[in-house]
Amino acid sequence: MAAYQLDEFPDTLELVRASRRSRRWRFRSAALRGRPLAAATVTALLRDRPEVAHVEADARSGSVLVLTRHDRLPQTLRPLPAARARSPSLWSRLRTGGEEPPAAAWHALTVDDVFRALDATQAGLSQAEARRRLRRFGLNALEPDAVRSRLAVLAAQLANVPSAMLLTSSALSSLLGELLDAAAILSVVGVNTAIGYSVERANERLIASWRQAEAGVVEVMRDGQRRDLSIEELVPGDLLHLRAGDVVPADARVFAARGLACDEAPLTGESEPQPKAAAPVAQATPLADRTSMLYAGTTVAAGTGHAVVVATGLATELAGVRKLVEQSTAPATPLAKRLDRLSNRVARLSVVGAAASALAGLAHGRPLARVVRGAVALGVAALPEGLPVVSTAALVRSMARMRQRGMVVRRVSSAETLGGVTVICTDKTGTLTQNRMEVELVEYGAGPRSPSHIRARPRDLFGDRATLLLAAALLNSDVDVQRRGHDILSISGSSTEKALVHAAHAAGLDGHALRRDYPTLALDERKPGVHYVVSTHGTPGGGRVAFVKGAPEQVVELCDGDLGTVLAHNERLASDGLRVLAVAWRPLDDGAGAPRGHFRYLGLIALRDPLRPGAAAAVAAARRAGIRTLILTGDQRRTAEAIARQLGLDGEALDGSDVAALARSTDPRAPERLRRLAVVSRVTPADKLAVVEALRAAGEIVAMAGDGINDAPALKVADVGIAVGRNASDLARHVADVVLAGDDLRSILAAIAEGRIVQDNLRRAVRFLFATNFSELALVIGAALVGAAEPLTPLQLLWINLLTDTVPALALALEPGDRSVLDRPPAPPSAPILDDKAQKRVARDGALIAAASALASFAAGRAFGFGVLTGAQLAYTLDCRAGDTRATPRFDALVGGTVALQATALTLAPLRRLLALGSAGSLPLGGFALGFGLPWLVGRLGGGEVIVRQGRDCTLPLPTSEPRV
Amino acid sequence: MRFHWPSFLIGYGAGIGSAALSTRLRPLALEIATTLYRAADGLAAQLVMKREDLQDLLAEARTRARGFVGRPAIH
Repeated sequence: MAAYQLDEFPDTLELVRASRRSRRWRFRSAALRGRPLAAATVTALLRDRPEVAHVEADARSGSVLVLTRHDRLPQTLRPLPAARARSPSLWSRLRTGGEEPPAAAWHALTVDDVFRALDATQAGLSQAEARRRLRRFGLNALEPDAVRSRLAVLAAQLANVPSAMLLTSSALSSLLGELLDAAAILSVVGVNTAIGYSVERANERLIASWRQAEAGVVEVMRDGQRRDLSIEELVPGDLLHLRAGDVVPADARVFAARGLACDEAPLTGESEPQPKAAAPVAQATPLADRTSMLYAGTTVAAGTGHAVVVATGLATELAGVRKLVEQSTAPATPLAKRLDRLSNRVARLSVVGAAASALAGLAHGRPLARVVRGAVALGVAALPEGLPVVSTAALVRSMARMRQRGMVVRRVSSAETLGGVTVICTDKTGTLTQNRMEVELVEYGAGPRSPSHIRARPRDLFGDRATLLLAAALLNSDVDVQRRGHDILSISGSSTEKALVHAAHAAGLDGHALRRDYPTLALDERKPGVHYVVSTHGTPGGGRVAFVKGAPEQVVELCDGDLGTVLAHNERLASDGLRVLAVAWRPLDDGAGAPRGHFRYLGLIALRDPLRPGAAAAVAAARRAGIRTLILTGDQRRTAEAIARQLGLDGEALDGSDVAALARSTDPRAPERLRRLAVVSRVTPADKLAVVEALRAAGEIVAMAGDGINDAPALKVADVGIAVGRNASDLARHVADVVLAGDDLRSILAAIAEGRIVQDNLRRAVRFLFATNFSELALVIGAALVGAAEPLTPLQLLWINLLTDTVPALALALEPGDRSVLDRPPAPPSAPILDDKAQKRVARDGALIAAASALASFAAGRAFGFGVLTGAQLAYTLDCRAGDTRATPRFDALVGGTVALQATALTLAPLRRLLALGSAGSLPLGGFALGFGLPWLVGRLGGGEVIVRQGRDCTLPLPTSEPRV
Repeated sequence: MRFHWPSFLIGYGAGIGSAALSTRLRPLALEIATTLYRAADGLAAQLVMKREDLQDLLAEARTRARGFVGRPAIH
């Protein structure tokens, strides 16, 4: 459709229909819909034109009808070129995002080509041009994470088979005029819905309260002057000035850098800051290695730099990662799948049973209304109405217990899924380690020593080797120290150099004084192939010295003397997973240029990114529980292998691309190799996703733990996504099923234990519910088949299902659980809620209870049979408890309270009338007492019930020694 | 009229319950009402658009049938 611009009206109008013959022109604009004022403005602008005979604007449809006096439009309506026609107004772009800037391999272009392509200069954009580009490309903002609406949460509670069948039963009851029955059924649905809604909303509010504040302002160059600008107003072509500590606000091409390095861990997983420079790189360079680019969401770790913005908002790489998350769909949880299967099977059975009962009733000549009433009774009897409440309450209780441990479960059913986890995929940096380098050992000729044993002698800098070693490392580090007086507020720079500075300060060196006395004259940064930094400094005596710090094998080449043992020390330290730097120095002659060689070796400094407290213990405990731990990291394989060894993990290490290829492979050995995997290195967000999907395809129940933006796609696809730590990115927290407020990975195992307890308790509760429901079903169908009167009315069935079935089942579901729940492997992922043995037991027990009630009805009437039935079902609760569970006050209160309430219902006249027990005297109560003793006898005949886990053996061998921490 | 305890208790309970829950239920009710309004506005917009399409069609047909434009057709 052609677009037109009306003078003095900011938005375009699209010509929907034009008829020159009838001189009618119909325009539509989304900007007018729902806006009467805008519609009136358009009318006013066109009405007085001499070419216009009539104009009509309707805010309801957003349309404008223009009738002209001639067969052309007035000049005030100008057609727009096609490109501009696709550019809606600023405030409509606020909702939908802007036009994407021209895509180009910016990292491969020279700086001049970049400026030319963006039509920008090093003086920055003019304000007018910036405004035009803002209208064209939209705000530099990602769509805010959509919080689930209350309506969606409410609807989710009703979208299940039991609720659908109950609503159907309620509708049928209404049609039959049984309004009390219909209301009672609806109240059950209402209670279930209210509980689930309340819990999920509370968790959503908690998550929302943790959202990090967005960064506000950035320094840009406009009209040749530096100014502060809101990040949202950045446009392609803007010039950024960034320094250490700044968060990069948009994708940008570097055109000037001084020691610039960026921490890109949230996007690429690389734990070390990446150096940046203006030189272009090859077009095929992977994202993590594009040294000429800065990406939105990353942080400047060191140095300063200037860059020109090339992409904003939804066109950034950050937005691309979020798109990957939106494309991945979250899987249905094991509980949902199994309960669905069970519910569907029960629904089918109840339909068959109702049909059989109806046919039998009709065959016996019963009226249709009575037959339909019987079918409704069967529907109510067959469905365990209490199951949604019981399962929700069990899950909610486990969520409450987890919340006490600092975990928030965002999806109720995830609490159960945790119990079936077989593999934990965890990010290394920030999840298993603290992402904080620390100097662990210093080696300067007397064997490796802890830095805490060093007491520096600042007055004898060149006379004490240890002092000079630490001072050289400090002076050679390019960090930004913020002070208030003598207090150091913060140190910004790479984590390695921050660690060196901390170690020097801890040993007693004053960095401020050292930098004053030995000012930096030149800094020769690392370059491709050159893994060391050379710094030149002035001395108090007017001379110069040079320090070098970097890869030992290269620094040793620059030093004089036989340093063969140095490399041996380096190998020993590196194989322990430490990052090793060699340090050397030399005096410089006056007038000498950049130093090349003839350095004097000082020593080695070994640093470690420490494991999080409890990480090794958590991994060991997971192994005991039959759960495999798999490390996913963007670091190099050697580093990751070393960390894995420290955690006590044995298994294969592969790069992410190799695992992705393995997952696609048709090699029959591929599944076995996947099972032996312990470390995946050099992993990208897409690789993490592929790993999780491959594991799930192999039948594993996968828990994915991470905190960065690059973890989000895998978090969403995993069976349980776990966002770790308070500094987890908004995106990770949004898609995760569980959010850990703290950093303790042992909490994951505690959550898994709760999940297993929930599974065990739910199995017992389901067994109880189905046995009791089966007894009612058998009674109703049996009576129909033999032509007897209905043994139970729908209201009686509802009373039983809600009170004598649901409350005891709730008591079973809320039991504290077995303490040794983590000392055995998880139940197989495909294990049904009720296996064959349990199903037979359910049928047997249900049949026995039904038989007892039938006999009682035959002997002394329906009221007596009702009493026997309810007493037997209540006592059956005790038989369903786990053999090794001690009695708890909650259990006693729930079951005891139900007994008391049932006894009251059987004696109080109003309730007896409601339950159609008539004037049967004390028969119902007597039957209740008799029935209460029955399951004790039956249970003793059948033996106690033990839930036996028949999980798979954990394939990884136990470590021969305790894992190091 | 005879005093009926169950009815009284149900009514009293409903009153207390709605007062207690009104604060918590208000956002949900607001969202439901907003959704209903949006649906109604959307439906109204569709109806208006269809009516406009019909008007345009009839105007074009009238012009073709009568072979002249004359006074601009206004509805």
